[in-house]
Amino acid sequence: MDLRELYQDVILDHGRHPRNHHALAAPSHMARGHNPLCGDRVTIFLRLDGARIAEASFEGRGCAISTASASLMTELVIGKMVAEANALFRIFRAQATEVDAPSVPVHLIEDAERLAPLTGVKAYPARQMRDARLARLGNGGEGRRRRCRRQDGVRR
Amino acid sequence: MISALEHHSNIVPWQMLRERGVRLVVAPVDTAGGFDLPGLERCLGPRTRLVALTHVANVTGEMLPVEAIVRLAHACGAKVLLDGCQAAPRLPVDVAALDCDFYAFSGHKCYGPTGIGALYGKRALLEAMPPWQGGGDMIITVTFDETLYQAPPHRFEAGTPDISGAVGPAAALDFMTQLDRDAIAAHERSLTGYARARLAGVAGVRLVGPEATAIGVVSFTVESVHPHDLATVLDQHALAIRAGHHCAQLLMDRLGLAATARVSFGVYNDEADVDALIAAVEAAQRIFGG
Repeated sequence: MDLRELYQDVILDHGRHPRNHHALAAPSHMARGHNPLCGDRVTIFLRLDGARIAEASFEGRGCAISTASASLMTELVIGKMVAEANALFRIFRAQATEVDAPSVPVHLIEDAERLAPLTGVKAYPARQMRDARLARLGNGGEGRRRRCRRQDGVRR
Repeated sequence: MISALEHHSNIVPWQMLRERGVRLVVAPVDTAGGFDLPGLERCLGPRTRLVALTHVANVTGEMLPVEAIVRLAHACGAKVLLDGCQAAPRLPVDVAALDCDFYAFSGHKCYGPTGIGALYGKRALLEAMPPWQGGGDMIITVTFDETLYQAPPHRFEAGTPDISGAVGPAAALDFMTQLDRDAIAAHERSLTGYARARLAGVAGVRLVGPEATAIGVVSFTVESVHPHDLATVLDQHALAIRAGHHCAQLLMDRLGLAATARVSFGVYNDEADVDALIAAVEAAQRIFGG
């Protein structure tokens, strides 16, 4: 596989200049991820407005692919309903790891195409991190989702 | 006592002993990631029982002043175990001259198979140690009342040994001996020096660890290119390197690094491989820079 298929312009661009690369002041949800194999540590922030994702951002950096992946994800999920974002996640996971192309509902086709450059990792098993491995990290709060308290202590 | 340079394999087993009341002390490294002999000396005390250190650091390639370490530790009444995984394939090792109490190394770093290694121990110490595992072959006689153990090393080899696994390292060590251990060390030192000098000449490259006694491995970072991206680009140039924390998270934390790229040399490498490395690093910079 040609390197330019893995490192397409959109990945290089988001790798160098990640979007939404900051913490949220008042997130309703956050999650930390740590890949023990490469040392990447990423924190994802969400602010939900009802069932809609009002804001999404991330902190931390990894390789170009990992950074671009977090950056593109935040861009795509902002404004979506949580159910839609979950559907998009499942589609992308299948795109990036499975042999057969997943079926994509019409309203998510454009988003799935925007994520297509990241599916070059399919040819590089060492550059992927499977769910199973992440799930095994479930100690000390790493790799686990958690709800945040607002400063006034009210659960959202 | 361990140091901040150690591979996880020389950290985790000692942490497991803490459950039995063992206190684990970590001797510091300097800000450049170099071994700090005065720092180790400050950590030594009358309660220090064992100093377990790497002979050559696996991230930086630094050869530690093991003769001085052994003298200092013995003066406190402590025993010394050296982790020779990086040193054994590169340096002639004379455990009697080093006067270390234990010395360990792995087969796969010595051109041999994985999953097997060797542990040397001074005879008197081994004779004073109980078996860690029971079974066949490690006994002289067995009755229902008691068992008499074999003398070392047999008492530590319970059960049918991994015979085929041991034949491989033996052949590999013969191979290294035929090549001449001094010649291997000279070759590795020369390539390490050449690689450090060439990498230092590339703008944006930062070498990790001190130069003086470096042998066999060179760790570095490249500005604006993550080590894993670099490793993928180098792979496309037919150069196999390691990227990541190298099983040395203590050191990476001290240096404030999440990952480095590391090249390691073998007897089959030459300066042309280093030249190819430099060209590939520059190619990666062209992809990711800017």
